[in-house]
Amino acid sequence: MQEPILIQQSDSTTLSDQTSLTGAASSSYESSYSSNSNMSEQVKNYNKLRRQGSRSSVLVEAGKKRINGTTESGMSSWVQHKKHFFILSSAGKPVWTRYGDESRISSLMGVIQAIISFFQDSGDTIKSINAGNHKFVFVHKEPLYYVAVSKTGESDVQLRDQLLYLHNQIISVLTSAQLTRIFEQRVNFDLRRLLGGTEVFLDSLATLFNKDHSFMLSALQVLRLNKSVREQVGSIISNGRVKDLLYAMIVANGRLVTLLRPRRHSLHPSDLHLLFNMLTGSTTFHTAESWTPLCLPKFNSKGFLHAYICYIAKDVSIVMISTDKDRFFELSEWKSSITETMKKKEVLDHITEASDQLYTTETVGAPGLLHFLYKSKIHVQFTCPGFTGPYIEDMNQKRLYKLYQHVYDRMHCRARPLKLYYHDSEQEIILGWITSSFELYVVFKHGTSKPNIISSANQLLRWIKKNEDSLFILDSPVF
Amino acid sequence: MSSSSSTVASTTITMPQLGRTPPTLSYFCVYNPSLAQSEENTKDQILYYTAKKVVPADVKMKQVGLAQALVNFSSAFSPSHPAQNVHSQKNRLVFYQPEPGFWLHMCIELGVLRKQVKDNKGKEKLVTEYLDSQLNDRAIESVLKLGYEQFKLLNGMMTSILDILDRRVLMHRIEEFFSEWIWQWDFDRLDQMIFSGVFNGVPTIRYKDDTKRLKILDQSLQEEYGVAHVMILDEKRDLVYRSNTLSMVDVRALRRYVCQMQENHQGATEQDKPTSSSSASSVKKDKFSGFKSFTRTLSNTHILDYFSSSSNTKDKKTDDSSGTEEEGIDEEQQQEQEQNQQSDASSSEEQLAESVHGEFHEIVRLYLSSRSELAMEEQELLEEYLLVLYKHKSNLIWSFLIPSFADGADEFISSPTALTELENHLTNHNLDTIATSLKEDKDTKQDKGLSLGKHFRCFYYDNATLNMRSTLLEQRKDSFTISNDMFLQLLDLKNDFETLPNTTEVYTRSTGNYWIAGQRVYNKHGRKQERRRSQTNGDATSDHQEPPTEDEEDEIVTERKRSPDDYTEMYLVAAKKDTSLADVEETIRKMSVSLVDLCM
Repeated sequence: MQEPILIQQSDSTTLSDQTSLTGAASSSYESSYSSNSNMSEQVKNYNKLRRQGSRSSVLVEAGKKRINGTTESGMSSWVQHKKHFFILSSAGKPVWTRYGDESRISSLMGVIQAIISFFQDSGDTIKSINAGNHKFVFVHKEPLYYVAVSKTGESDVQLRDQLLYLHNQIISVLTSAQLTRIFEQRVNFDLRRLLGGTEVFLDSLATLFNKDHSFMLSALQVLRLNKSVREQVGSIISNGRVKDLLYAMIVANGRLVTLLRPRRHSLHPSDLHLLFNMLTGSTTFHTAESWTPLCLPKFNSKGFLHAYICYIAKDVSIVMISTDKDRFFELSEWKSSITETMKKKEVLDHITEASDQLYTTETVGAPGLLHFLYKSKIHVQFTCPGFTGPYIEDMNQKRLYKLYQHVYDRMHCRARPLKLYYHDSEQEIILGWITSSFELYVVFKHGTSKPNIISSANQLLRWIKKNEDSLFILDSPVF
Repeated sequence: MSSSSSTVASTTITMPQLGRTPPTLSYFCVYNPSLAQSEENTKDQILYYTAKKVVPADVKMKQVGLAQALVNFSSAFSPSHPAQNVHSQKNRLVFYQPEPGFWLHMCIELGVLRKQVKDNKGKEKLVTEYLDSQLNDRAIESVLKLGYEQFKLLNGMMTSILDILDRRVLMHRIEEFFSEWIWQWDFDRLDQMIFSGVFNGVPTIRYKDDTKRLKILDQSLQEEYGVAHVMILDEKRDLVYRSNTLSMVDVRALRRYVCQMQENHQGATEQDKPTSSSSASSVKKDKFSGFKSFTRTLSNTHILDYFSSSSNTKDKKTDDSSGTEEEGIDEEQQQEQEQNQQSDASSSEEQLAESVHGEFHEIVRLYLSSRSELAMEEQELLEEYLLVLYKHKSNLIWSFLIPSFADGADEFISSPTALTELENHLTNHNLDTIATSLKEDKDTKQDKGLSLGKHFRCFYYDNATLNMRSTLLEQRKDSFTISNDMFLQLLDLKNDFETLPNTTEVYTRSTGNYWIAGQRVYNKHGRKQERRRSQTNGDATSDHQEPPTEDEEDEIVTERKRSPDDYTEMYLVAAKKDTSLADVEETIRKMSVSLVDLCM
């Protein structure tokens, strides 16, 4: 049996109790995300570097140099990362950096703070800087500044949205009310103490932006699942609901299986994205039941909710959100009965199977079709096939990802929106097509003629229509 | 591109005027941080500063200081390409470093839209929208590049002026050039910025036999008068001929300058004409400082002497030039004005009537990167030339470039008969015949045209030869006008080609249902194939064209080596509602066929 990890968060949940903001909260977070709460600064730094090393966009060599502490060369390789994110307080104190160590970038943060306030002094706001392939984007969300430095080709709007996600992640740990109050009391406050341990989620969010289209599409990715199986899962989790429950959901590898919600409250995609990021961002949840306070910014940015998270199979997790901090044991019990029923009715196997074997474009059978993204505007959900053909290769996958981002951005440009965007390069052809009910981004082999593209795209639309009830969650259970 | 404008509550607004205010230049400056030796004389780094409002010295320093801070900050991450532009809620800052250490920097106040909106309680409130997305970065950067291009043409490199002369001279020259130049730009006029800045090309007509004859004439001028390079433009300012020794980059700068001179010349006799013009090649009227620098060395009276004598020069061949001939000139003159959208047709008629062959302009000192035979290996980057500008009665505009250090250069300037002799030389070499033949050839080409019907407009740009053709700005009653949004969308396409590797085709359809499509073709294998096609077409339609000889063909192929900069771009705008993707594709195909006829 798994040993439940209980995170003692009783103090910080009481919003009126301000003394809790310092010690208790940070130490308890640490205990949940690392095995050793008394680890030294050095060890923590090392762990962070290891964490960053695994998804570093510059050579591993560079990372090694940094550990050895060679400032000069270390700094220059640090600069070469493709996308930096910085969070700093309006006093110029570093809060978080995607790469490297916050304490070593304080002079850079000082410069950023000075530039931002120069514009503020003249009643203006700096938004972005373009320098060659680099783009610098600034977002000010009192009392914090968020800055992206990127050479990924992403647009101002996309980087700004990503910075807002980072902001929401901070809110989800602290709530906006706490955040404001802390800096009202002490402008010079070092927020790192309070975030203690939750930086992993900022780190993983930063990585996820370039792996998961949910953020860009502001829609939920749904696991393709036989309609009857999904209905079964829905009815299982609708049974025996615990008191004070807000939401309950089953998630398979970042794809939603089903969601139980109150009739009057739907869940904002952005809140769900933060939740999904928590699931994938830390391995803690894989090994034990967890009970953690959490703020869903779009639901209510001022208060905490409580999340019960548990993996019931490899990559399949159950998430329950309650308004009461004392519901852990009830939820844990409920989870056990749900899991049992799901196993008995064999639906859990179906889910794992569907999650392991994503559908491919071959299933559609449209000639020349390589990949696609389809967003149903009505359901705020999207679907896409697994990668096949050229996109099994990592390099091609990354190019495709960027291409999708580019097309999306061009078509959603607020000043000049487009209905159709056709782009041909030597590698592939992409067609973006937006109507009142759907958005389709479809990729074809280079050399496919325009009439063939149009007919294949139509064939794809017919296939999606036919398979709508397995590709999307058309009606989720409510109470 | 950047996100669209933001909305702000009315509290900050001091002028509650409803409607749209265009973007305006807030300030422009030229600075070089290395000129300030110590903390005390930081203001020494500012070589020139001009602003919409009078600004105290400390504010200027603050602005320049911020500019440097932004450049330094961005170069920490992007050392090779520091800040090019900064978007803020209300302004756009633009940076351009044409020579190491020298910065042209300007700040543009964004256009503003003020409107009355009802909030969710039904209460009226004033909303101010800053129109960030209306100001295209590529377009405004091109303004600074263009300014520097013309400054360099007239003054040489900033570094050289600073080294050879001194800071005060440099400051003076910068002020002389930029004080009027920078204020003439209307940042709302995308058409001007696109066709003179973003696509800084040279419309070129390719002639065959005529070019051969001109080459012989060019050769003889070089031998007898020490003319290093020749450039010839026709009445529409299309390039007719250039010496092989004159680089296209120089042709581009020179052509713009010559156009400007021509316009000023006409403007001098047409008072109070509207200054704005939508012609592709023309920028608003301005005065160039080059005149002044020249008159310092050359007596004005002498030049006037020449012009009066020129009108008295007799030549038997053109003595019989009757009234009809002159009418012809006037017609052309009018056409030209129509093209430039200058309604007043009563132009320099009188002056033209006086001169029999043509007229010379004042001689100007210029700096080009093209080398003359006199140039030495380790010489400066630019060579100094004297520009002799001659407008023939056929409206061909000749630019003769004489190296200013040539032995005969000073004599040429001071000789009262030199220009007459030059003109006689041209006449003796059958200039009139060549001119007539050129005109006929051009008319044949023009007949074929680039018109694709009233629903389509197009634009063609060749990045290797700098050739360009456009029907985007044509004013036609039966057709649509290109809106600013269309231009912006076209620039978005240009950006796709520049930023996404290997992009060959982009088709877009806006929510307003117009199409803008673009195609970029990399010339990987020279132009042999296309020339073959034009050859067959040419034979079928025109008697004047002869198939190119083997030599010519080879020359062209070797001239155009495979390179990432060797590409052509075609853009098509379609404003018809029911146009399909296939229609657009078909029209682009037609367009490329007629371009082969026109430009090859």
